[in-house]
Order: sequence, then structure tokens, then C-alpha cells
Amino acid sequence: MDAIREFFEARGILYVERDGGLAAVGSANGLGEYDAIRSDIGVTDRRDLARVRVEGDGALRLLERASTGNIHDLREDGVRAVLFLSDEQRILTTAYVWCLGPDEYLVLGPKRDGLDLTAHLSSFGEHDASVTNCDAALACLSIEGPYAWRAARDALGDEIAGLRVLRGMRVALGGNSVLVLRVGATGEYGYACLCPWTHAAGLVERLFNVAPSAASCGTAIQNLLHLEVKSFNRDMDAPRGETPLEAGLHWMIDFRKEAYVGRPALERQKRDGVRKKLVGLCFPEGIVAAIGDVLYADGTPVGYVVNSGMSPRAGHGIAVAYVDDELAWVGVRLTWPAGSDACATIRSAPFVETESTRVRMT
Amino acid sequence: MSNAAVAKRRRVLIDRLKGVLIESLQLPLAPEEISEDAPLFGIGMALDSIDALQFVVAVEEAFSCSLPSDGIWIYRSLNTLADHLESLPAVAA
Repeated sequence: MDAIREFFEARGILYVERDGGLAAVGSANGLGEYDAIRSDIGVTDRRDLARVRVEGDGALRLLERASTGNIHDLREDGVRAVLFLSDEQRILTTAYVWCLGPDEYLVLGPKRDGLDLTAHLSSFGEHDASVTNCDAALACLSIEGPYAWRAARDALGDEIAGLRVLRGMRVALGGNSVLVLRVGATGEYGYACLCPWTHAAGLVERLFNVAPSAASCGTAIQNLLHLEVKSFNRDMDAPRGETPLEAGLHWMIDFRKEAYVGRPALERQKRDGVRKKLVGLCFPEGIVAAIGDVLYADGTPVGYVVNSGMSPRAGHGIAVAYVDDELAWVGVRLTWPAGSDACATIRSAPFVETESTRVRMT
Repeated sequence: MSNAAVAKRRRVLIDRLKGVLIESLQLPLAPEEISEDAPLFGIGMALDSIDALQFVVAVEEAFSCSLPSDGIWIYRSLNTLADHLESLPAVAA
């Protein structure tokens, strides 16, 4: 057992086998983890994220072909959120691509449905690029919450405070290098820190020393955190192979890029129009539709729920659902199950105003 | 108001906002390449503060209204901006 896992297990975090590796799922106090990330600081072992280094003269070419994002204009220490698609534009995974320097990139993304990101990128056969799985070399920790910036600054140095969103930097710590990205999908300040496994335990201890109120968290609570701000959740939000345009992920696509996997199918759908869209729904107090529930308008099925839950911060049920395009607009009211009076309303995202929108780094 | 009427009113407003966004910022995007729920700033469309100022001025001109400078929530996405505009009597009419 590695020192990181020992550290988090001692704090009640359960690890399970998943997607060909281990994942730090969470503790028995999920609400405590939620409160930490929404109100203070949560630290999570993110070994569930694939860490892949792509380098060489052909690295840019490979990533341009493989992903939907504009990698060409990515400058050193810039980070881009991208999609990897199948030829039929099925979403294989979401990922961050970090330009470490000329011809050198780090790709960080969830492992899902057995997708081996290293193998996937290697399959492009780009002779002038090397694709290296860094899971065994680099540990990954996330620091999230309205005061995550303070923990990151106090643990890693003042320069962290100047790190803008979708930027990365290298920090020297005790003779070692910690790679830090400012990213996140919970609506709170978020940092991903990568360092050699041999030094990760020291980093974790340092974080909790400078931020004793920080909580150990698992990945399971990310479902609710993502849902509350309608951040795309690959685990939940495309169960039937829904497409990027249906899921509202336009911002992750460089529409001017001439070639990438999935582009022909995506452009056809863009031309023809989407037939359904992912929308946010809010429910009357105390009730919420279940995942998979069909939604109705005037007795006609018009959509289905893909993720739902009770939001502690919103104080009511929330969900995301695919709804027929004609009715997928804020203000529309839908019922479920058929014939009942229970009514949900399509509303704008996010469902909650995060604390981080009020907290300013000082 | 029927669902169809609500949807139509919202679609018209969003389409208009997309047009203002694209024109005011000279974005190399077509309306169907913008999602109304996408964050305008930060992890999303990544507009900057200069973009924000230009866009706000353009929206105020297009809708003959005054937008608050301290309502950060309003500018989160085109949908949240549309929510605010729909709440203004002059625009709602």
C-alpha cells in the first residue's frame, strides 16, 4: 500500500478497484466532504485520473487530430479543456491538455468505460510523438473549495496566488517539482497537483499542516458537486451516447479546426440541428425525479433524466435531463411520471451560487 | 403561458443575445456553435474582462436597458443574462 492511500484511509476514505486501478471513493461522511468543498477546503487523491505525457515533434499534430480543442494556439503553461470523441462523435472522455513546453504536453482525464487513454493516443500511430502513461510516476491530488487558493499558496508558495484558471505552473518544493494546474468543475477554486509518488505523502502532509481545517474527500461526492453547477459529468451525462452538441459542450470544440476524430459526424449534426439538449431542472421542495425517469409535456414523453439529487445548498431537488429541442428552454414545465401533477421547471445553470464566486483571493 | 410559448419566447431572446455576443466581440462563431448554458468566463468560453465590458455595453444598447455592474451571477452564461433581461418590464414586454 502506498503512503498516500495510507494517509487517506486513516482519515476514513475508502478505496475501490475501478477502471483498471484504484479510486479513492469517499468516506461515510459524504455530507462532510460536500461541506468542505463548498465552504472550506477539500483534498482528494485523484489517482482515478489518467496522466499521459505526449511529447516529440509530432505531439501537437497528434493532439490536434485526437481532440476537439485548439491545441495549436496553446502556449506554454496554457491548459485547454477538450473532448476525445469516437468517429461517430461519441464522447470517449473529457480531458485537460497542458502545454508543458515546446512539443511537450500532459493530458489529464478521467478513466471511463475501460478507455485506456495512453493506448488511445498511441493508436494514432504518430511516429514523431511518444505517448507515456505517467500513472505510476505521478501522484495527483486535487485541492478544491473557496479557500483552496489559500492552502495551495501556503503549501506551495506565493506565486500560486497568481495562477489563473486554465493555467499551469511548476513549483519547486523541497528539491522536487510539483506540477500545478488551476482547473476544476465544481464551481469552486480548484487545483490539481502532480508530483512523484515518492514525494506525494510529504505534499499531502504539508497541505494539511498549512490548512488544518481541510477535509479528506473522495471522488463520489464529485457527482453532486458537478450536478449543482451543471458541469458535464462523463460518468452520468451521456448514458445513451449523447453527442457534444446535445450535451452543450460547444465551448470545448474548436469549430474552425479542419480535422479531428468525430468532426464529420459533429458537423453534420451541427448543420442538421440537434433534436435534444441537456438542460437543468429544479423540483418542488422535497421531491426529485430519479435517474432514468421519463419527462412529459402535455402527456407526451419529451425527455429523460440522466442525473439527479437533492442539493444541500439549493435546498431542493435538481436534475439534468435531455429534452426535445423544441421544449429544451428555460421556463418550460415538465411532468413525471406520466399523468401526475408533479412538475419540474427547466432553469439556467448553475443551480447554486458557489462560495468561490464571493470569495476573493487576498 | 403554454410551454410552446415559453420556449419560443426564450429561443428568440437567446438567439438575439447570441447575435449581440458574436457581433460585439467579433467572435469567429456561428450561433449554433454557442451553448446558452456555457459559462462565459473562466472554464467555458473564457471571455476576459475587456470582452465583458464590450458585451455589456452592446447588450444595454440592444435592449435599451441598464445592467448592474455588481451582479456577477447575471453574467455567468447567456441563460442567466436572459433570466435577468426577462425580469425587466421593458424587455419582457
